Amino acid sequence: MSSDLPPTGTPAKPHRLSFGRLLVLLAIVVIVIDAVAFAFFPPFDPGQPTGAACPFPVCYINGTLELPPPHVVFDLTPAEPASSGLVITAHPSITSTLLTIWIVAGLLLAAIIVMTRGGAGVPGRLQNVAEWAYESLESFGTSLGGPAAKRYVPLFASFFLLILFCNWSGLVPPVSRVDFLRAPTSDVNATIGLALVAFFIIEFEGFRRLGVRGYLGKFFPFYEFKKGVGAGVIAVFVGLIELMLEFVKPLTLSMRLFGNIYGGEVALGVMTSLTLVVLPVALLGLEFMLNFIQALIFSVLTLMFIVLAIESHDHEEGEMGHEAMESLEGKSGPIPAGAH
Amino acid sequence: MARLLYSGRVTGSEVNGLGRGSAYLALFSEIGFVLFVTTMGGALAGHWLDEQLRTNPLFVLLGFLGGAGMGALADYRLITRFLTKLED
Repeated sequence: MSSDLPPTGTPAKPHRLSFGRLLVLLAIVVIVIDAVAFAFFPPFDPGQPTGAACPFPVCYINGTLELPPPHVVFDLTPAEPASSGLVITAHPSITSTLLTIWIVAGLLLAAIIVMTRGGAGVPGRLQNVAEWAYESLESFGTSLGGPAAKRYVPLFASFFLLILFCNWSGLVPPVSRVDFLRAPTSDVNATIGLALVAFFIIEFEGFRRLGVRGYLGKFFPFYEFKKGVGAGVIAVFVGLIELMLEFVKPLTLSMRLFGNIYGGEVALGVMTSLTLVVLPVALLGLEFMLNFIQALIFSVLTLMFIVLAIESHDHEEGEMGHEAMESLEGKSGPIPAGAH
Repeated sequence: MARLLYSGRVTGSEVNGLGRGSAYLALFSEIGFVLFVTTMGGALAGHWLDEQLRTNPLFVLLGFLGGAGMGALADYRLITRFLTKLED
């Protein structure tokens, strides 16, 4: 008898889809949905009257192209004229991106409450998933920023999860397909908001942990003049560069996130309109991964900036000024710790 | 009974390696953006000055070079601080 046969009475193993097969199945589902959508809802140019001919490829591209300013769902000040800004808008209104971020945040919050409502008892499957996710993020954050980062893990996890699901929301119809829903991070106004929150937390933590004098001393290290005029001038110059870098942070955080997500959505829309099904599926997979990486970059940078902000300046500007002076004088070798 | 999903695999060296990898990715991305923002800022400020003083293209060049220089120094500081923290 062959030993490959299962022994009598052994229950058959439940059939499970491998990861590869699952991906292939998902790709087929997306292709079928895309083909059905194309057949029943053919592309049209929103700028043209209904029923007008839709020549390929201009009309197809126009049909999926979204401009940077979000659609206004509810105008809070209808009497005032709308902002004419091309990208950044300053008109009080509830936009499609604001509405979507509320929906995403609400769903995320509800999911977390449902997953963790078990309390201290035996955790259920959902609670295990929530604990696994949080502990992974905690381990991840502390592996980067050390023990000082542990306090900021909830912030890191919140930023990561919110941005991740905001990014991913743009890949799921009807988001970005109807006027009142759009991926929040594809709007620069939303990413500037997120970056400003991160910026204020970074600065607040810096002032709180180091004190006003200690934190400002990082940017205006006049005490370095005690070591000589040359060291003082270099330290102040480096401090000013640090100060400039501080204000560049919200700009880079917001522009990177907006550029990547908006660019990805436009590329996905254009590729879908031009090539119909197969290529967009590959691009969709790529976008799925890139959106994850962008959420990770934003949250990792915020965490690292906080950790760097709360670091004492004992080994900072003074050391650089000192190093520069020593190299000018022809000395070499590292500065002993605690030299300042 | 609920099946435990928690695994030691995600909290050990793999996460540390992944964390460090993503930090390097974030750092590289930040380096490019800082240089871009400072260079662009310098060039735009120079362009504005040129328009006011009608000295085109003196300040736009100075602004470009100054911004790029400041960006390079800012990048140096950023890399130094990041790497010091990551190697701690």
